[in-house]
Amino acid sequence: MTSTSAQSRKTLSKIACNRLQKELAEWQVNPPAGFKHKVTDNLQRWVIEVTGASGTLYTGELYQLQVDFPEHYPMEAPQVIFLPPAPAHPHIYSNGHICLDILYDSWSPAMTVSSICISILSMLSSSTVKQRPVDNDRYVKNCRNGRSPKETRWWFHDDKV
Amino acid sequence: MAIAAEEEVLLEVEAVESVYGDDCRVVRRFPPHLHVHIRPRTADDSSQQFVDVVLGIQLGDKEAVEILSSMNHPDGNCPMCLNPLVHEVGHDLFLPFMKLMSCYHCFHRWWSWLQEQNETRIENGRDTSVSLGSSDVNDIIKQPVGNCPVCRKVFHAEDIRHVLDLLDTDHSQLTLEATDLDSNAEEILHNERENERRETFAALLKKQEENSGLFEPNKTVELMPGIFLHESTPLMTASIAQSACEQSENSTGNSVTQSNSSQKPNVSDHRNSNTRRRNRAHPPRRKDVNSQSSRTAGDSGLGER
Repeated sequence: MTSTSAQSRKTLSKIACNRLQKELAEWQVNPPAGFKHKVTDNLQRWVIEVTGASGTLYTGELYQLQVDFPEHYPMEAPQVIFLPPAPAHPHIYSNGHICLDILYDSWSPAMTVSSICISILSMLSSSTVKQRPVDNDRYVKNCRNGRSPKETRWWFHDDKV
Repeated sequence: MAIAAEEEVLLEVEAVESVYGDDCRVVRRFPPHLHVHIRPRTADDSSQQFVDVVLGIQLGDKEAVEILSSMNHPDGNCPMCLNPLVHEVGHDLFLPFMKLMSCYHCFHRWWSWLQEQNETRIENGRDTSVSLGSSDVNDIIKQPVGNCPVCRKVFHAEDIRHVLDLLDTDHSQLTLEATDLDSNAEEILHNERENERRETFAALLKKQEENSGLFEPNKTVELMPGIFLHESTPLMTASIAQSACEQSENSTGNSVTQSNSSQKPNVSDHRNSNTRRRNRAHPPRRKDVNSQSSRTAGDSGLGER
């Protein structure tokens, strides 16, 4: 799964570059617990390993997040998806797309990759069933042409998981 | 001012009280005089305590205000660019920052962030009505709301009024210079060779201007009935080149566009009015252009000066 929106293909603006370098430096000193940044020389695409938190349905399971940054990050949200296999979760589609408001409508430039990671881990941890979203098949079919989750019109309805 | 300072001192005293509770005795609130009883960490097991101290804190009102003033800046990093909001003393890099009056969150380079945000929104064709959606400062004043990026608290135009003059006067400078964190660029821009190069260029530009050697930005030419575009375009360029040459030789102050003026008669340049009239008076000569391009150019533009 390497779907990439048109925007994130544009090279990073200078502001975006400076900001990402800062974030990376901070991550190296103080990474969020349970996450590991896989080192590459590509500042615009981060691949991050997530370990399911202990005492949850995903204890010890390993997953990979792929974060693509748009030209005007952080004014615009990064695209965040799970690389296959994506964890079974009521808000995570089998193609890796994540239904989480802060990645789309509720994005704020004061958020960071680190804060996104914590939100995603929290979302995983509060899950009570390992289950795909009810509309999984329909959604994934609609995304077959490599559509970015940022082009989806999300409907955020669940504030428990 | 003095009252505000006094209030701040009182707030600080209150803070000490709430942190130390019964261990803090306030002798006088303003100017402040406190006694704070401090013990070593032994999980409140007094049998393990061998030392303790009573801190007497007393400040004249002047000192108190001065200390507060020196501390009067936000700590920590800008939540958007992640650089420290205020550098330590002696650091020559200063980026202006602003505070949202309603929630006290501070940001660097508010202007460039706003601009980027706008660009992003325009690119995405998103709804601009909710937050600051326009690049025009005046529109920002008019628009009542935005959301603080940190706490999402709605802020009003008043909240950023105290920095609007900053935006208004040199926002371009802010965006350009503040973006360049490396002082390298600064050095390059202001070294001697670069200054010389700039001067030379300015002088050249001026000379060109004086000799009308510059192609001005296109004025809008309206096509109206009775105006026809000249058919022989390559020829036109030839004649322009020709007239430009002549110009540099005899350096009379005529515009290159004059040689064209008969082709677009509604160019509103009154300096040309003589020439134009002359050209209009001889429309048939234009027909000769094909055979005698260079001569025509001279005639129409500069010939008899």
